[in-house]
Amino acid sequence: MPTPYNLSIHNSCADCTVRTEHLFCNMSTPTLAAMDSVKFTSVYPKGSVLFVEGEPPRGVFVLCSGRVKLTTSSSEGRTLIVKVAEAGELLGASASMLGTPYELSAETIEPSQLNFIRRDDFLRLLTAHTEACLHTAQQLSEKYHAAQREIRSLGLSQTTGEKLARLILDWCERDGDETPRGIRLQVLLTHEEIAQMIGTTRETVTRLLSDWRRKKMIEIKGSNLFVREFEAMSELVTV
Amino acid sequence: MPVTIDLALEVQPLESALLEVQRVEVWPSGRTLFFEGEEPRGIYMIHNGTIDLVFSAKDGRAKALRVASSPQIIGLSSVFSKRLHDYTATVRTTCEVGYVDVATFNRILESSPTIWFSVLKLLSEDVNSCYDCMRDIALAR
Repeated sequence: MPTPYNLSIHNSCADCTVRTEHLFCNMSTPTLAAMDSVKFTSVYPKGSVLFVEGEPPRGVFVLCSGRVKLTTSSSEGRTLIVKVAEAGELLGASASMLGTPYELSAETIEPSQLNFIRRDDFLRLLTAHTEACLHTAQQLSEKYHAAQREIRSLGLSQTTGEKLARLILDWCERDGDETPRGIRLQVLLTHEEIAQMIGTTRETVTRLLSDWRRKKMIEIKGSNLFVREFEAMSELVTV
Repeated sequence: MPVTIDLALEVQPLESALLEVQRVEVWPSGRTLFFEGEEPRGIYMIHNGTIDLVFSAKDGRAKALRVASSPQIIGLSSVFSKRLHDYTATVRTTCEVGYVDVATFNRILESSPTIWFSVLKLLSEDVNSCYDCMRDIALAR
């Protein structure tokens, strides 16, 4: 049956076939049934804004499939991509728990399925199901550790080249495919967005990638980036 | 210890439970509570004083990128994620710190499900403070 954006849509959490792969969703049937009764499933195209930094918390989103960029901005309008969330992550939990405005903005970077749970329903779910509390605590802890990792990279890297190399090596570890041409990465982010992940400018990212391409450390074909000299790139990283 | 007693009057359910079982110790300036890369053994409630959260590079460079002070609890997220400590916690100014080991903490959670909300709120505050720190480092220049 045709589905929006050819996504494999999971309408019921209890019957979801991929939930065991997802940290937050891998809960018992009664808890998932309770979640099913309060969630709203939607499919979003690329570029959909889920919530905006500073907005009062409406609730949480469970990212079932797709990817979402989480950003924060300075008062001068500069943007930092704090994280690219993957399937199985819970978004907006800290604001919903604290009752404070969303700390970040969230926008899909590819077609995505999300389950939305209103804040009151989410808090009721937590009250009734300790297991949901544990899984929310694990999600928040993972976000904390991911943020610490970024703090280390942003705070200790000595050059922008080092920050970019570190980002690409992280992608290699997480999503890279070994191919005869090197480690293949599918990069869905623009140079501007990559710059926003490491706190630099689009021009610097373009210049660094061109430089590495000239040195045959990487190769770029459309949205595919091949890391040909993994060791050489690792040597750029000190953190 | 007056600070501990003052805290007990106003704290959330989690802290109240922890105050009953904590082992309070005074840590002088320069001492280290735990090292980066160590397995989490417990959680630390800071009653007074300040603690530098020091991050290290592979080449040995180290920088205090964050600071923790009363009434923060450090080490909480590592208990849930079971990940090694991300930083070294070194006392900047003499601290009074309450320590609760992982097993005792887990027993508290099992026996009092009502304190889960306090746990989730503290973890949420920790996450938000990390985002503030990232914003300061990356966007302040």
